[in-house]
Amino acid sequence: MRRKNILIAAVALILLSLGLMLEQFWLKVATEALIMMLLAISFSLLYGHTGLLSFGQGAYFGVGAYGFALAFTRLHLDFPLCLLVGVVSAGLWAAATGYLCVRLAGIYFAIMTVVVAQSTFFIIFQWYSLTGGDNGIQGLVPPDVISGTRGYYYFALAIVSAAFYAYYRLINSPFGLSLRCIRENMIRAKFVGIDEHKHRLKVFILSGLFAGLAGVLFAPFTRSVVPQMADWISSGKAVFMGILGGASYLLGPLVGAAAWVFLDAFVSGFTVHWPLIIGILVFVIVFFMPGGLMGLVHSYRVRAKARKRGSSGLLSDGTET
Amino acid sequence: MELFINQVFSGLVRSALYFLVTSGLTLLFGVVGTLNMAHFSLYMIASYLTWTFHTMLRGFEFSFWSAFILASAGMCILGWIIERLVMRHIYERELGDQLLITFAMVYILDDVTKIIWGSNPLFVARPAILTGVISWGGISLPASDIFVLLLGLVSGLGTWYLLARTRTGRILRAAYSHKEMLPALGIPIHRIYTGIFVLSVLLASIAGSAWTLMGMVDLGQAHTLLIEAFCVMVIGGMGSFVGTAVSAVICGLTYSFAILYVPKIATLLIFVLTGIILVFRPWGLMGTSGRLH
Repeated sequence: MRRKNILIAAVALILLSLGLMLEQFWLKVATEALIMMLLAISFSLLYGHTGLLSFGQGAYFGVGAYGFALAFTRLHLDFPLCLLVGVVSAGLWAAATGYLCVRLAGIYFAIMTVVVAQSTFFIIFQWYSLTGGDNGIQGLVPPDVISGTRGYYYFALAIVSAAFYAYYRLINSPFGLSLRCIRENMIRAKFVGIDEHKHRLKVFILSGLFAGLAGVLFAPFTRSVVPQMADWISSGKAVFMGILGGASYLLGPLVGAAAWVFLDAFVSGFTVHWPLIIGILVFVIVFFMPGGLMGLVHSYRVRAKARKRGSSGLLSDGTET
Repeated sequence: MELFINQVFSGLVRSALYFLVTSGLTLLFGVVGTLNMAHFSLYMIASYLTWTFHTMLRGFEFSFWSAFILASAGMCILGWIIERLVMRHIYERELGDQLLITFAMVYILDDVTKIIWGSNPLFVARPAILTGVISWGGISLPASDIFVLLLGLVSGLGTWYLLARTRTGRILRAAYSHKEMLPALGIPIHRIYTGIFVLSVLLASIAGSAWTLMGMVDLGQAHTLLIEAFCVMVIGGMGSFVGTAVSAVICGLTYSFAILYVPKIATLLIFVLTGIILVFRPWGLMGTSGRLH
């Protein structure tokens, strides 16, 4: 427990000092990584913890961003209130579409989420009078205090840390445990009295809120929103980040999002064929490292522990949440 | 009345396209139990291939028809390669892995398409025989649309005949329901899986070539058809070939009448329709509830 506290303090110190040390470009990348962690969390909550493979998290990311943008440019609300409007609209959209999706299981669920994401994209794209269609919405400048690159980094850091704490509490709560029970054995979950339908809808809405928060933070970060934020390729981003880090580990989405965004920034420096590279990367992960990056760390730790005890390590393969 | 008949006709043409795009997907899912997310990318690549062969054979009298056949052959080879390299390694894996791998293929294939053909939309000139309009009574129908409709009918009936009326079809159906029994009887199940995947790609290829008669070839064509095609698949019942045909007709007609009255939300209407049907029949019109989990 002491070691854990020291580790948390060290990470916090590093994250805080990064804001002072990094140059403009990499600070922007770091901010994007922070925001994308929320999107990865939203995917992991569904896939890693409940076993629902969603290809539609982009929809709530997009709705959150557009909710913020519309409240900001049309209603001229205060900045914090705009953030709230964005998150709430993502949550409401998740509730409406989730009601439909969670009735389905397995492959039907996956397909339905793709359809929802593409439809959301389509609505935003076609509703020209409200959303500006293909042009998107520009001029989303945050208040002066956080409008600088450094200011916005610290702002994102604060919100993402709070959201991560909420996620941590959530998956360690009785509710989080029953989600994993649903993932492991749906029939047994029903036996012990878990209303799996209601639980799945709840977690769907919660993950929509996380994706919405990511969108809300992303809009003032890039100062603009475009319909492509909501389509299934955007949803794929959430999927890949979650998988890259290891969706069922607590730190998986954080590691995955950070690795993804930094890799993207690095690779974009010398080639435009990022999709090709990410496609190949997913092949490698699925075929050779099923648990993602955190899965590698985990199996290394299991082996190290076994070596200490002097056993072969075959019998001590513990499972993590 | 003429307007009505015209709308029905164009709806049926749309249905034929839906059916061609979706039937391969359904077939693969029905026999092997794998959903290939990259199916639409293969459909798009078929359009590009048709364009390439058509351009190469410019001046030749039957350039479109040759391009059609060459593109189909090329896609079959590509399908065979993909099956050997990727698909056969994921049939036995769990659902999540299957979707991830095929989704990663969407990224790879789309990017490779962009590298080879660039991002500008391309056009394929229709052959002379399909440029005219066929008039009958007060109704006049474009020849190319009639061709697409016939193509859908012939491919559908052909595949149905193969599945329902031949020995191969019985083996294919057994490959889903009695997977362990087939190898025991000396039937090479891997070869069957390869065959069915190539057949599914061939159907996508026919759809892609047919699309070149209906619109422009571009990188977005797969994504714009995605909602409709998945809805057709879900409404029909995943893995049900006949169900796919029925729901293709339903969605095609819905689309063609919606485009007349509410053009902006025609695609969304299909999505709403899917939602309504799923509330009452979560496994689709002709699917079986056993496949739900």
